[in-house]
Amino acid sequence: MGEALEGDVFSAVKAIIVEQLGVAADKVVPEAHFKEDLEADSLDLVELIMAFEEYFEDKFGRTVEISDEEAQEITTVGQAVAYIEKRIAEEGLA
Amino acid sequence: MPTVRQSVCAYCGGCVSICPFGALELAETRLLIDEELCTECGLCVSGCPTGALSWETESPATEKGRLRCDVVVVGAGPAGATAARYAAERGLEVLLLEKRREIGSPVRCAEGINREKLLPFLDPDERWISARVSRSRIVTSGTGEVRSFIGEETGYVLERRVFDRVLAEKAVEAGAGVMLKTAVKGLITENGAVKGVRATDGRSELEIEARIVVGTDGVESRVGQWKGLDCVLRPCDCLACAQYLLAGIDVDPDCCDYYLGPELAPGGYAWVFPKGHHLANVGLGVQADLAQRSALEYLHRFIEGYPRLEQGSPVTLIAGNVPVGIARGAIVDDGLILAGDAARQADPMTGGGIANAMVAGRLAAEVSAKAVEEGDTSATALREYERRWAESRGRKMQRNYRLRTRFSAADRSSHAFQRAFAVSLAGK
Repeated sequence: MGEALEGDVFSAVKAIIVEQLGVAADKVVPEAHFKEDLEADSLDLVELIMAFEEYFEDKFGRTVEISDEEAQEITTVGQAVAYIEKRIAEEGLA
Repeated sequence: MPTVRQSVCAYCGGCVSICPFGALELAETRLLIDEELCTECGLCVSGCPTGALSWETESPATEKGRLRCDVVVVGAGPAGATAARYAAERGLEVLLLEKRREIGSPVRCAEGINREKLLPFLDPDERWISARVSRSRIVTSGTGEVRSFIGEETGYVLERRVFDRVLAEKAVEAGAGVMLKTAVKGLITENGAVKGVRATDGRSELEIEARIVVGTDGVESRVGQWKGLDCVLRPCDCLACAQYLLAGIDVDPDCCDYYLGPELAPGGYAWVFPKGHHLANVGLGVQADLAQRSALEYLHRFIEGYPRLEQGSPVTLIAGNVPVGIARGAIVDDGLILAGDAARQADPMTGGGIANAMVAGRLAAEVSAKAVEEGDTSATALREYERRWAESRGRKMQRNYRLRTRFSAADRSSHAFQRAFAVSLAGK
């Protein structure tokens, strides 16, 4: 289950990033920095965080809030995926 | 002042209820406009369902003049003056037309601009800086939640009356001609392509032939509408605004305040922008489809709610609409480019339009110069303006529109919206 879910989260995160930032899918790799590599500005990050929150709503029917402090720590695609996986585990959704 | 074609007026009274100043009156047989009360905000003109209200003068023209230039720019706000300036700098013959007697008045605007967005166009100058702002505060009504952010001289509150004139002076320095009190009444077209404008100064008519017409005539661009472009704002894409210059109030001279709340300003916000000590631009915008009352009534309620504002005296009152949507169709056509509010280029999150208007004006000038040089002013050639706008600001505009529409009016006082609003004000 773990493997499959990891893959799920990554592809969901990737799809969100491609749509919102309008970047090529092959640029969305775990080590990509949102600001430096994907040219996201602060408001893009705000929108991405909201989209990640909505992901929980859509996928698990659960309202999950990502605080400003936590959001500050998410600077790469990999960190976003790891954070979401961690919250999935914490919320008992896995 | 708008004029009424009584033969077309349906006496529906829509304009009477829409007018924030009570300047219109449905008399027994005709619609009357009170010159003393009218501020030329134009709400009645855009709201009139029969087209009976217009800016056209009724007096018949007596003489006809004819002029010719490369680019004629309709409307001398920031987009128009900037377009005229850069087009003239590139060696084009440019005429900048303004329907009013003076440039920069009345100004329907909160007058705030980020420092870094201004610098590419003008060096800061005390003549048109009312206040240097280093802090902003977002106050949510109801919950009383306050979120502040502090920066080093993040921006300015402008004196738009002077600022707009200085932009026009820059255009003149670059070689553009300015014509005041020149109202455009229609387009000259040839085989569907725009070839100039028909204008009047109230006494005589003027035909100005041009290779390109740049429409910078503001919200719901008439220039665009004459060519069949979709310029009419849906109410959900429009903030109805009213603002006072309030004197004699307590105001932080270096802090811009924003107030959010579904009751206070449904779909929009109120602002208090300092213009020096004891003076501020105090206004409010409400999303047109959510408002239950006129913007001015909301503004009065807002001011009444804050003793520090209520003690002040209004010096000026202005009302008007701000576009907070994005263009739904083309903003160019054969021989025609739209820029600024005319092309809905104000920021959908904040309604801020000056910086984008200047960026778009310069782009319009650059693309016009290339088109004139290459002898191709067709829509296909001018699409380069749309492409370059999309590349430079288009994605962010779409992103901000998405963000705006993501929140219902009730949610726009939520923490999440505050966060997005604060970040978009910071503009980084």
